[in-house]
Amino acid sequence: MTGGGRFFDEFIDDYFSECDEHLETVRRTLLALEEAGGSAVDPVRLHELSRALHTLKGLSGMVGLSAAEEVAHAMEDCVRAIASTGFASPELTESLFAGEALLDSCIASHRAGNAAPSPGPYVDRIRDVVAMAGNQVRTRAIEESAGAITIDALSIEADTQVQRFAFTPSAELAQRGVGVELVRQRLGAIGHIVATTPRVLATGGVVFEFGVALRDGMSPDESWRGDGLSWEWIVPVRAEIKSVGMVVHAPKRGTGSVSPTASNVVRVDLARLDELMRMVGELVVTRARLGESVTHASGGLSSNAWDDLNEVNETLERQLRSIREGVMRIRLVPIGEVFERMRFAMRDIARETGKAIHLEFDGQSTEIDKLVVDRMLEPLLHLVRNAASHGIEPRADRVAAGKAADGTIALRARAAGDRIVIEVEDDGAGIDGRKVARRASELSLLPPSDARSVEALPPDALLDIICAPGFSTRDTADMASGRGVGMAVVRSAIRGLGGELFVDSVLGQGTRFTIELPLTLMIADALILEIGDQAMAIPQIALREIVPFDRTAVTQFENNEVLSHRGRVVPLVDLSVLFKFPSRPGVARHVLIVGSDHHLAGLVVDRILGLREIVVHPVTDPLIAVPGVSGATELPDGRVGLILDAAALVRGTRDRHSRAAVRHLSSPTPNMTPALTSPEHVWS
Amino acid sequence: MIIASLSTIGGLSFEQAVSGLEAIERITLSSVDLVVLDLNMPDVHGLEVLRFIRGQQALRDLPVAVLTTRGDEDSRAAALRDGATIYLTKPFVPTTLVSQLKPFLQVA
Repeated sequence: MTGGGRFFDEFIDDYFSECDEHLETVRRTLLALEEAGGSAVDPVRLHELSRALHTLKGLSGMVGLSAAEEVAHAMEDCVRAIASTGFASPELTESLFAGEALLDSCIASHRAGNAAPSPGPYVDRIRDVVAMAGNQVRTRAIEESAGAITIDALSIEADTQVQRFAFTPSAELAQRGVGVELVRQRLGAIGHIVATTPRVLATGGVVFEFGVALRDGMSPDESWRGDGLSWEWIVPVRAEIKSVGMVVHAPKRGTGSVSPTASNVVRVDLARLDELMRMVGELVVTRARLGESVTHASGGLSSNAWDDLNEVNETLERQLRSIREGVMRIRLVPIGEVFERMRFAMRDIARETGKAIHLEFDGQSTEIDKLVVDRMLEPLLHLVRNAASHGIEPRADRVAAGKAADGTIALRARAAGDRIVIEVEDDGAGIDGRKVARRASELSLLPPSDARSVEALPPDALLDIICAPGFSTRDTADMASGRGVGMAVVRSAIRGLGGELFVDSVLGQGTRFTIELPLTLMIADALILEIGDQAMAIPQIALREIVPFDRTAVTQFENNEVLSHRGRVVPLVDLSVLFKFPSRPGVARHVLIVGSDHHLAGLVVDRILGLREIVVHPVTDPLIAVPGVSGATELPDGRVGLILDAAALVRGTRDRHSRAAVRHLSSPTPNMTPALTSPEHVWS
Repeated sequence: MIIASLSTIGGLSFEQAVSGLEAIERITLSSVDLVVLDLNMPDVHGLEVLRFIRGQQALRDLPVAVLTTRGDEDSRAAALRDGATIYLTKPFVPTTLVSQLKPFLQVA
């Protein structure tokens, strides 16, 4: 039965990924439902929700996750209650939100191999809520004398052009044999009936409303009007037709582009894409070796033959680049998915904190590696929670400060070259540097004497304090945020992806966290260089400038070397000293300027061999991981090269800088940065 | 339709609706004393018809007997929750059915 087990394992992966997708639909439709408030429910949405729940129920049943099955079933009851009343009461909506959370945790528990939470209490509650909704229907029906049920509304497909008909039966018509069944047959002959709604009139009679998707060229017979049937011509011109309780989109005709629908999307296991990317990576390396060989062969070939060979080599490089980009694009997903989840989380946060907060999105279609998206979910959630809980002030304070009563948190994403920039910005109180400093000294993260001066420190220093493990400005943690471990985890998650976190905060105006991430983690353009005999690579995006190493421009400062460069003081890290690869004598050395605007660092290296595409093999094993090295790669000449982690090297100099700055705050010494001379100093 | 053959049994006259919509039409147009509702109808689910009936002030007290093949406790509970007066399972014996329905007619 091993075959069966394997089949099941594969199936269970599919199950989880399908669940993710359907839960996403559930969340999206629930939010839309809530947004509509007490107004008429959009049957298309409701149908979508119902279908997603039904699928979740079915799938969960198949994998034997009966807890999820029961929850989905109870949620379906809620949806049905909404469909039958045509209106989503707060209780029903709330129950659905609670159900989604429970469903999510059932599936997550199953995934983690834990026992799913018991659905019993939830299912019982739903039973009550649905029963109560039933009572409300009665009340509503009496109040409006129109307790209508929408029968087929749940089967409306989006993008259908629908004509509405109303049939009023009467005893006289019934005598002539004209009843709702005949009307239905007639309408069924000219189109597909997508919705049927009996509506009770105040006078006591009943009207049947039909939504019919007319077949091309078909129209109702005018004589039917004499048989109690009425209709008004609606000419839908690609616009949204909004009629009571029914939203229908006109079919998109003649538009060239077809948006992706379930039918033309293929689900691919991420591991297979990784494998494909790895193979492309090997091709890239082989091509680079071919390039080297071609260069070396120039002497032994006629110039024509060599030109041909070289041209083929260059064409191959271009084509490989296209393949690489193509494969990379497959892995990209819009970041909007993650943003949407923030909207969902914001609901809970708003309730917990009692603040009214608007979420603004920009650049949702920005695409980013699937793996990066998955790993960014928690950090983003934490930043948004922080913004809501610490950033946005209580309403009264906001009004007093002359701000809009409701807070705004903006989530933005954009592509910048090979990187993706994500911003989380709130219009709240900003980070109070003094308060942070005071708290930091209370927690012994900072010597007390320096607390008052911390406000003068640049944002990076502020960020370091906020991101210190154990730091929290709250005395007690609240539900939304403030356990004091969050920001440390946020920053390490971002750094783990090769990214960096920045903060800008203006007291009284707001705070902006900026996350920079690499677009993809596997193949990068890199500068190949040598330190002693060891070849190393540094990602091109990390480089700001390359300057010849001029010993006369270097000054000694507190046993460290600094370089005066373009009017700034740049701490130097001599990599041959740091990694203990002795430089060859007489070689012309170079300085690679890396880092951010706030903190530059100069890496002193020996020879520079050129720019190459490299395949990144991350070094994740903690036993062999070396600070300052992010991974390894195979070089064109067949050697293994280490990939330098420029950000970590800059951080090393900065940490020293901060300590030095703290030491010198009270002295008039210029704010110069001591350089690092050995690894012990960097990561002590 | 099995119920159709019952049209005059036990002094009760039955009127047959072939679909949920027609049932709603009949119930609202003519005065009906009791509804025997099949849950499996071609268009509208029986429970939808039941909820519709219970949603109308004039029909709130109309006895509705749900008649179905589904004998499980969940279906039964669902129907009773939605306002079924009595829940009967198929197969049924016509005379027994009528005797089961009569008490509700006397009450009504």
